[in-house]
This record gives sequence, C-alpha cells and structure tokens, in this order.
Amino acid sequence: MGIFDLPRVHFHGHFAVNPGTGNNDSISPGTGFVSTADSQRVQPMIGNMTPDEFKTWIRQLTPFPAAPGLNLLRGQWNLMGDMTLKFLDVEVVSVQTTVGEVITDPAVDPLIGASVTLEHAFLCDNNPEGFNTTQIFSDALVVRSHIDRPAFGAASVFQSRHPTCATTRGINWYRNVSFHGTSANESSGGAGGASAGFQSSIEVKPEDLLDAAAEGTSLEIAQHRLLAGPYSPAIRALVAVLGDTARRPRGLTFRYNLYLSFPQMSDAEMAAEFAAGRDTENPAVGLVLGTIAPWFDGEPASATVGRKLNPTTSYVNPYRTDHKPYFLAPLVARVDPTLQNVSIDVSNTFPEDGPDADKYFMGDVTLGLRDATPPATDPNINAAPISTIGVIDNTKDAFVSHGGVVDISYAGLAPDLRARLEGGDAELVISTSANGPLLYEVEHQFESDSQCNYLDEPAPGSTWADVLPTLHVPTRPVPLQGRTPLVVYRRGVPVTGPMSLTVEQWRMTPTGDEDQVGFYRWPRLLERRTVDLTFDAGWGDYELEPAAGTPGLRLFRFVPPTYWPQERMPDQLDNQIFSESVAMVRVLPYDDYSQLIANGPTFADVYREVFMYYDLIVPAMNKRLNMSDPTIWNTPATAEYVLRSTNEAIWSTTTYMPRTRDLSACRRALLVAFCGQVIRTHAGDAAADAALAAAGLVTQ
Amino acid sequence: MTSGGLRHDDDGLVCDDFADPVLELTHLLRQASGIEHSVALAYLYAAFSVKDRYLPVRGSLGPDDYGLRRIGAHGSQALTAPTDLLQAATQEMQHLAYVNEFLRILGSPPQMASYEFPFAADLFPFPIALRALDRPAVATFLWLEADEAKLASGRRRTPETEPAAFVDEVRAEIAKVGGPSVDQDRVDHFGSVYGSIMEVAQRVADAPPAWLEKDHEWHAWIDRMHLVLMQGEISHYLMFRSIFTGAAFTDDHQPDPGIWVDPSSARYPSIALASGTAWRARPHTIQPENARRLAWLGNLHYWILLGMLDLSFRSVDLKLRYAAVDQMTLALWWIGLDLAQGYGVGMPFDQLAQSYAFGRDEKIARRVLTQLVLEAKTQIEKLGADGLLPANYETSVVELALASLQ
Repeated sequence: MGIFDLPRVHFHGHFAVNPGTGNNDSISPGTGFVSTADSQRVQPMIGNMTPDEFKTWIRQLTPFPAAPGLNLLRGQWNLMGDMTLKFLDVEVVSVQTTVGEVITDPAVDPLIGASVTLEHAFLCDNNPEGFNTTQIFSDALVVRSHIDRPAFGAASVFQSRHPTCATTRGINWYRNVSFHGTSANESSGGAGGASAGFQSSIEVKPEDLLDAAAEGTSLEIAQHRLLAGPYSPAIRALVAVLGDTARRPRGLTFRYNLYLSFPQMSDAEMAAEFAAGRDTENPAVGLVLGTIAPWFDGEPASATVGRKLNPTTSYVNPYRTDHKPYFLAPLVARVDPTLQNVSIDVSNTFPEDGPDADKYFMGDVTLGLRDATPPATDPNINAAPISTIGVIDNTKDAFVSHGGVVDISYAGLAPDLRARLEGGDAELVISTSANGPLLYEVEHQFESDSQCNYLDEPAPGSTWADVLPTLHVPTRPVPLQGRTPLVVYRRGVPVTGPMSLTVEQWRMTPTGDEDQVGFYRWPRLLERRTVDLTFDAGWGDYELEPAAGTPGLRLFRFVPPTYWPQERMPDQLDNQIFSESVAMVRVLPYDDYSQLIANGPTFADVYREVFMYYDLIVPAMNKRLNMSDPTIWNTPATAEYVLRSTNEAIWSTTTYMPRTRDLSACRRALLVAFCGQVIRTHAGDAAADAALAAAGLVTQ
Repeated sequence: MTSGGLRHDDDGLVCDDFADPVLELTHLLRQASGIEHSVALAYLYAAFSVKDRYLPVRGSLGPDDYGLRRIGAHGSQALTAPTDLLQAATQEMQHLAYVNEFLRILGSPPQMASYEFPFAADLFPFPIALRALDRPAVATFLWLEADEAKLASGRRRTPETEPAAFVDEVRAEIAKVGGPSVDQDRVDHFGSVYGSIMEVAQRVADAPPAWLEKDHEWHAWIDRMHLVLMQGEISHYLMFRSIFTGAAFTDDHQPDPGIWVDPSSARYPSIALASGTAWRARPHTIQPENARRLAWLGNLHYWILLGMLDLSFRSVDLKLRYAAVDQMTLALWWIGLDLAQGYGVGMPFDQLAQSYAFGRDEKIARRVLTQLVLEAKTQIEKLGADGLLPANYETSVVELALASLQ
C-alpha cells in the first residue's frame, strides 16, 4: 500500500529548485506584498507603465510593510527562475527487502550509492499566489548503479516511463524550529523552515520484466526494461513482486519530501545583480528524502493512503519569541496483520533544528493506541489511556537511513492490544514525552488523486452545467476533466457504499483584496453544501463546479461527518492546510477574441493578450525565445512549435507550454489563429492545414 | 579524410588517447558531431532519390519536421512510430544538436562541419558516401545503425544476432561499395561511439573538474546519449532492415528483395543520381548548368543553416535554431527533391569551410551571415526570373532569415 510495500528503496541528497516568483504577490499566508500579476485575468498589473518600465520596476526593491526597514524585491526572490527541479547528488541510501532489515552496505546491494534523478523535472503552481498547489512534472525517474556491478540485469541504468504528476502533499510550515535559510529575513524566499511531500507513480509493463524478449521490436519496451540480475537483491525482489500478477501490480510509486530549501542570495544581492544588467537566477537548494516502492492496482498515484494522523494541538517552539504555535505535520500509517507490523511515513512530520538538519529533540517519541475519539470531536478532550505500540527513533541518522519510513513490530504485544490495533475502534496516537499526544488518527482518510485542476470560464450565456459534462472525457488529462477522483479509507480499509459529507468551496486567488489591490485577504468561504457520494473499493469522484462566475482559484474542502473540526476559520485553513482533504481548480478567464481572430491577429495583438504576461512575469521564458521579438514568432518553424507545444494532448508532459499551464482556451485560440496565419503565409496552405490538424484543430 | 583518432582494437572502440577524460569526451563528441552530420546528409541524399510512388519510405515534410523536438522518456511513444528516411535524417540532426549542447557544457565551441564525402572513417569498414538509395547503400546504413550483436559473425554471434544468411547478405552488399571488405570480427558501429561517450562521460561525472558548470546534470546527459544510441540501434535499424528486405515497399509489408534486382524497373525504389559539386570549373561540376545553379542555391541555404546553428549554439539562441529549421523546410528540402526528381542530380552538400563560425565575434558573424543570405536572395531572383525555382520553394525564407539575424 503506497510506499509501505516491500521492497523499498530509499534515497537522499540535495536538490535545486528554480521557480519563477514574478507572480507570487504575497510572501506567506496572511502576509501580502506587491501585486505584480492579476492571477484572475492572467495579466501583468502594468498600470500606466510601459513593458520596459515594468521590467525595471519588478526588478527593484521596495519596502516590505510587515517589517519596517526591510526592502524586498517586487518580483520576489527568483524572478528569473525557469521552474526546473534538479536532483543534484541524490543517491540510494538504503534498501529494504524485509521488514525490520535496512541494507546500507553497497557490498550487499549495488543499488546503494546509485544515483537517482528526475529527468527534465519542473514545477508549476496551480495557484500562483498560493503555497500548497505545486505540481511536479517529469519525464522519467532514472536510477543509475555502478557500471561494474549493474543493478538491473546487465544494465546499470533503469529509466522509467513518464511519472504521473506529483502535487503538494502537506505543506509543513513548522519543519525547522530554528533555521529559515542563510539570508534569514533578508530574502522573500525564507522557506528554509518549511517542507512538503510529493508522490508520483510509474507504469511498469509485464514485458519490461522479460529479458530481451521484446528487444528489436519496441523501443518503448527496450527503453524502460527493468530486469533482475545477480547483484541487487532489492531489484530481484522488486521484479518478483511486479511479476506476481496475483497481487495486481501496476508499477512503481515514489514519494519524496523536500525540506531545508532556501535561496542562496538575498533580495538585496539580487537587486544589485539586476541593477548591473544581469538577469541572474537564484535557485533554492535543499534536501530530498524519498522512497521507491511497488505500486498496485487500486492505489492512488499521487498519495499514500491508509490510516491518517492529524495534529491534535500545538507545541511550544523555544526559539520563537512570538509564541507562534508549532504543529507536527500529518502522517499516514499502515497496520499489516500478516507481518504484525505498523509502518509510519514520518518523512514530513518531525521538525529539524538548525542548518544541519538535525532532528529537534522532543523527548521520547512513541506510537500508541487509545479508544477512538468520538466523531467530529476535539481529540484533545479524549482522556482515554494510551497503550504504547512502539518507540520511534527520532534521530537524523535513522530518519535518513529509513527514508522517513518507520517500521514497528507489534508481534510481541498482548493479544488484546494486537486485536484492537487491527480492529476499527481504536485510534493511533503519536506522543512525545515533552509534549504529550501531538498526532491522532482521524477516522476517515480522504484524498483527491487529482488535487490540482483547471477549467475554462464558460462563455457568456453558457453555464457550468452546460460545460462540465462535456469535459468528462476519459481520454482527456484528468486535471482537465472537471472532476476529481477521490479515495476514502476508514482506519485503513477502503470504503464501499454511500457516504454523506460536507464540501466547502473557498476562493483562494486572488489573495489581494479586489477593492484594495495588494492588500492580503484570507481565503473566503463561498459555499458549503452536503453531498452524497458513492464509493467502490475506496474510489469515487466529485464534480468540481465553481460556485461563482469569476476566474481564479477555488479550493474544495472535503469534510467527512467524522472529521474535526467541521469548520475552519480562514486563517486556520491557510496555515493548517496540511491537515485538510482538498482539491483545487483554477478557472482560467474567458476573453472574446472573435473579432481579433476574424480580422487576422497581428503579433501586437498576440503580444498584448498572451505573450506580455510571460515576458514580464515569467521572464525566464525569454532566455530561450524572446517573447517580445516578432521576428521569432513570425517564422513557420516557431509557429509549428507553438501549435505542437500548446496541444492539450501533451498537457501532462514536460514539453507542454506554457509550463505555467495558465493559457486559457480563448488565448490558445488566438495563438492558433496567429500561428496558422504565419504558416499559411510562409509555408503554404498544405503545411498550415497539416499543422493545425496535428495540433488537434480543424483546418479553416 | 578519416574520423581522426577513433581507434578500435579487437574489443571495440578505444578511447584513451587523452589521459584527461574531459579532453577525451570533447574529442569523442566532436567526432560524433561530424559523423551525425555526415550521416544526416547521406540519409537526406538517399531520400531525395526515392521515387514518388514510395513516398512513405522517403517521407514528407510534416508538422514534426518544422520545429525542434526533444527525445526523452515520455517521447518514447512517438519514437516507436514507423520511421521514414526524412524522419531518420531529422533525428540525426537532433542528435547533432544534442551532441553540440553537450559540447557547450564542456566549454567547447560547436562542431558544425561535416566530413567530405566519401567519408572513409577508420571507425567503419567502408566509406560513407552520398548515394542514391540502392541496396549497398542501405547495407551500409544498416551497419552504421546496428548494435554490436545484430550483424556479428563468428565468435561474436549472440542469440540476438540476425540469421547468418541475412548477415552474409548485408556484408556482401557492403563489399560492393568499393571500400575494404567487412572484417569478420570487427564490431564497431555508430553505437560504439556513443557507448564510448557514455563511458567517458561517466568518468567526467565521477570527478568533474572545478572549471565546469557546478551541479551539472551529468547523468541526464549520459541518459540522453543513451537514448540517441537506442534510437539508432532500434528505430533506425528496423527501418533500414525493412528497406533492405524490400518490405518497406510492399503493400503487405512482406519482404520482397526482388524489388532491388532491376534498376531500370518501374518497381525499383529509386532513381539514379549524378553526383558532383556546385563549385564551378571543377572536374566534377554538376551538369547541366541550370542544375548547378539550383544546387548552388541549395549550398547557400545549407551554409546559412550551419552558420545559424553555429551562432545559436554559441549564444544559446533558440531563435536561430528555428530560423535554421526554416532554411531546411522552406528551401533546402525542395531544392534537393527538385534536383533529384527533375534533373537526376544529387544535392552536393559542398563544404564551405572547416568551421561555420563566420566571424571573429557574434556581431561580425551575423553580418557575414546576412551577406550570405543576400547572396542567396540574388540567386533566388535570377533563378526565379528564369523559372527555375522548385514549385514548393518559399522565397520568403530570405526575409525570415534576415529578420532572425537582426
């Protein structure tokens, strides 16, 4: 189940992330800054400035109202970021083929020390102003062992198929109690104290496991072969599991946690770079800890499900003088009666202390069991005694070597306690000797397997009821279908049958107040409704119908009747989003370009309506093709590229453009009209017709 | 001319001329660049000769040929699609781009020159030549793209090796090319170069020198080289195999080697091409003069294209890469076809220089390239006035090129 199944391959190292921050608008939940972009309309907030004036303006420092005397960049810490994510020195640190045994010796398994990379990985935010909607796309997970002792049959390299998109699983604002980056508050990217989890899955076909059987007939198979060999026990075990059809294997899943990440230059240093005419990038570097495990039919691709533990209460961070409450981040556990083992994913949970990622000492950390808290009740009033299941080694070494996955055997416990653990009436609890119970098990774990979604605002005269059913096409990318798959488990067991729950809808973007530009406002509750859903073996789906007509980002909060708290204050929702079961949908704006298209759009039209936003707000795109240079966009080769790269058919891949995934259908139609015109002019009607047809468009 | 320094012993390619792995890797990549370029031209030349009735084998310009494409894991679906000669040539050009990107990371200037034809590489046991598509030519292409097992003989045979009769047939055809006979134990193919590149790149990755880009994704580049190798060894090999057996030319895709028997037959896949140079007053200057003039314009587009790519790789300017694609899709492809199908003449792909860096700095290179484009413009006007431009040739290619060089 999720990352808990064996064998597991754990990896660790540094990563570099290079997001573009031009459209961030706010600094952190509740802290507004400079509104540079209108996320609703997907346009720069250029005011009376010319594009060139705006380019200068956004690269300059301005006073940060929340900290008098401090100046920060209007475009924030990495305006020139190209959104790439790179694993730098990430290596396999251990493998597990049996519970309780962690192999860290490369002499035992040559997979130890193998490099792990994500090919062509990049990230983009579903909500450009938000914090918990990052999507990570990549071409492949690549594991490379030493050439002299290949881990994958005769090959030293395994290159996976296209991983599914990963989305933020639990932004944890409380990850480091004492360290927020070397620039401290001198950077608008002081995220060193935060962390987040991500999970992707990868299809492995039965033919991939066959030794050269398909060689010469399919490059696709040859490219992704996964073979056992004489050297790696972990890969032998993995191939055996994936070849066991009785278990209905689908492939691999990998979960990784990004933490202790912070930019290398302060805002003032970056401003000096810009002033000197250098468009410098300022990627953040941090640590990644992850696990690769088998993926089975029926399991979500982007999350691990089982038994979820949420925060009960806060603890005191002794480094903070402002008494800001700190929480442990949620985790997922699995109880395996066959192996008499509880597995816990703590990769995002326990805080670090300081720049070396040492674990913050919280006293003894134990996993326990107590009578379940009544439904929809504050767990802090649950005074039931806690029976200890086992102790968690909360040290840096243990954390890294186990990939953040803790196994606790309960074979030695009393029979009645074992029975309660495996039953459905007691809840798991994580306690620390310093602070008591800090996490407790919620009755239902509810996850969206497509957390970040996109819709186009209906044209005037059309409604969501008209539009949404037309999007429910299984061949479309799931995030564009107007509905999200949902998975629900009750204390580790998939739910089957009807379920009534509350679904709230919140407006998250723009975070700026519509009446007071630049002034932060918390999420706004738009709607709360009770819905009846039906689940089959844990799976159901929910139609993401926006409640009001304006574009922007909506958050759907799924609240089972057992959940506590049933309602959240807006600031609580923003700060403790990691506890919630949510799905987002970004509504891209409608624009009427019919006249422009009928007249034949010019480059000036396309620049104003489409390219200017990227030129000014995502300027890294200019490093490859200058968005403001008409000579580029008036060539058929580029026009073909635009048609191909904006095709919805490749939306889920890393070659789709724009990477920001905020090109509305209307603006694409404008671009298509322009590109078709360019090709028709320079390469003839046949080439234009072929290009438009290949782009999935009917020729005109 | 030889491939210079690419040596092999009984076990394959030797890559230890330089003690320093960065120098060795740079050397190998430069060799690979020259070979990719030369092979792309050989495939294009052969494509021009294919008769219209076999369009699916020749290939047609389609949306995928107009832009830059990236090979990668997710793109593998596309790579499994049936390949034609044009696509194979396009993919070799993409490989050329990859190799030059890798060179740039190593701090090396781009390598845009091709080898002079016939290119007698000491890596391969035959010269690579610009030839109309015939069976010996296809046999050499098969050899180039094969992995080390496919066409092996004697003690090197493995379960993956083709049937002995097929291997013998391929070797017999290669022997007709006029180069040295195929050594029974010789194992070097295109993949040997990339295998060596990956091996040496791994050595660089294990201990990268401080002067190279910090935190560079070495593994990603090694993987890309691996994909380049696989595209040749699987995708291209299968295509040339179907051409060699004749299966590519039949409706039911069943082998029909008889198709290659009679060059005068209407069924024969290609037309014969006269080869020569577009330079005037040379022993092998193309005749007739109208064909030479068109070939000269083809050369101009080819050199402009290479100059643009050189500039693009030096400055990381993708704009010029797209402009270079325009030179191919709007002009050079149509000239090559018209020369072959209209005059029975092969596109000469004459080499202008050892380097296509046309200026001592970028500014001057743009000026010189602009002059070259204006030279082409003059030629276009003259050919246009004489009614000699191919029907699908797009004269706007000049304006596009000038705009891109501003």
